Amino acid sequence: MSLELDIASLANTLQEAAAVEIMPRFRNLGEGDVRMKTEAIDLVTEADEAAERLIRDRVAEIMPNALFVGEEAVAADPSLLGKLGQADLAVVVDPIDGTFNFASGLPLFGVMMSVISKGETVAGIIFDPLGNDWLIAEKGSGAWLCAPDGNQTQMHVSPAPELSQMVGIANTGYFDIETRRKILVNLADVRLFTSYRCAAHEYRVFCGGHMHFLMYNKLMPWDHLAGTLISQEAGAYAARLDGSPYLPSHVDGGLLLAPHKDSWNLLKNHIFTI
Amino acid sequence: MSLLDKDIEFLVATVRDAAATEILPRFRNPDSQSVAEKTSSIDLVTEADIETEKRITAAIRRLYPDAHIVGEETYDADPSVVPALADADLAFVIDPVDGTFNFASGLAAFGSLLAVTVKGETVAGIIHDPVMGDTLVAVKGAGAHFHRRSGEVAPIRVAAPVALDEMVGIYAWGHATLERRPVIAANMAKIRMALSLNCSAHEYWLASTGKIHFIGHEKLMPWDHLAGVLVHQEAGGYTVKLDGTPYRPGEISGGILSAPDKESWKMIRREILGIW
Repeated sequence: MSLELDIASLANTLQEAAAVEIMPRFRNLGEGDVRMKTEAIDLVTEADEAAERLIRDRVAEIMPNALFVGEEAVAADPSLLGKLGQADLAVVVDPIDGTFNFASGLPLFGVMMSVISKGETVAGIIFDPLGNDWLIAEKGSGAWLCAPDGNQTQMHVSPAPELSQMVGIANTGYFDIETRRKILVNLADVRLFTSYRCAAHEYRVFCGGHMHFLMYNKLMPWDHLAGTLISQEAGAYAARLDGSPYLPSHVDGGLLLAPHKDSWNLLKNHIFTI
Repeated sequence: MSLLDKDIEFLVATVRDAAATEILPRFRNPDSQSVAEKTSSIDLVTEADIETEKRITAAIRRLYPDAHIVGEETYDADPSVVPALADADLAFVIDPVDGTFNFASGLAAFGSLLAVTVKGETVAGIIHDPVMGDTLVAVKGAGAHFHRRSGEVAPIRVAAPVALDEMVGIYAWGHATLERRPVIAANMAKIRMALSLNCSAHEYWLASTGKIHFIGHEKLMPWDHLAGVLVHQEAGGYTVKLDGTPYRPGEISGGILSAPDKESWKMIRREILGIW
């Protein structure tokens, strides 16, 4: 039996969370609203928790049988992560992706959701609270940018130029220091690499054809499942750094996305030499 | 001449109006995708750059008919406008859309910058965020303030100094010489978190509001830095060129580094840039 998804209702849920819980708090954070999670940089805010609560409540109405895996829920119950690979149906949510940016007043953050069925990502949504628009993909149906006025535009990655002209995202922060050093040295060979500390917008720029690669090391499912599916539906090639497919059960092993398998191999062999 | 409050109000209003009229309607607008490459695939100019600069220039020209006006886009037609900043009696330096690559990619990290210089000294700096409608404003000797779209105004302050491995920073080493790039890139592994925004407006914004600890650049076009440097200094920060000398209007050679204080500045220059 194929899965019937009410994807429009799920997208509306992210839009509601952004309007009600996220945007009113942006650049209005009081000192008391940001507190330590695991590390100084890993900020979590009232907005994060409130947005996840709202989304969880709505998902419980739309998909009552789905396992709900949110960043905040996992912080409270880490065993949820292990259940994701086997669940018949699960919804994975990042209420605010780019919390450092959000807490710093930088308008680069997003809300992400993916739907997982028996270990496979079947749908992904990346919502931008600033633009009130979103990327959406259902497996096999392409990647689409949905504007607030209802217009939909299909998204396609751009073919990669030669290595010295490539522009991309490299997140080297979670590698050990020697690996990090080596990759940073290799990266001097591309035109520009950057890290906006917000996977939501990095996937969006990549799927819009403005960048040529994305590389991540720490693979929390709420950060990458939606973006990877949307990228694949926009024509990209995605795999872990050992070449194996990236699955909802994975939390490590690195992830590299490129416009095509050839450019993926080029990047793997010259830049991400791990 | 010295600037009065009404001059600053006029300039802030001018930048806000231009951003709302010429930039925002073109952001993520598929009908306004005309983009041209200048020197490379990441050095771009859009219709928003050109129209915003025209609008700000015209408004300033009406009120200050004799002022020297330097815009990023007019510079391409006549590079001599930059050295003339060193002694102009009154000059305005405009970056209509700073972070053009981000703007053209649909990323909300871009800004408008305006600096006012008098006889080779920056006397006012404005950093505007078109997406949120908020503005940072600095006046030489009078501090730096956050002007919300709502009208609320609050002083801003750079971050307190911390140890190197606790720092969050940005160093745009892409403009460093080829042999220095890997060295700087590798040294950035010493800090807590390295960002790169490709937008000096938001970089100076984050450093001046205390959200990150340092920013550095090795390309000194005046429209990218004059406004931000004054905002950072007036927010209590230490910004000078990499050789330790003050950064002045009209200069385009060398690099520049902003840090919370002089001690941090020296540490970053040593540990990140490898300059002793």
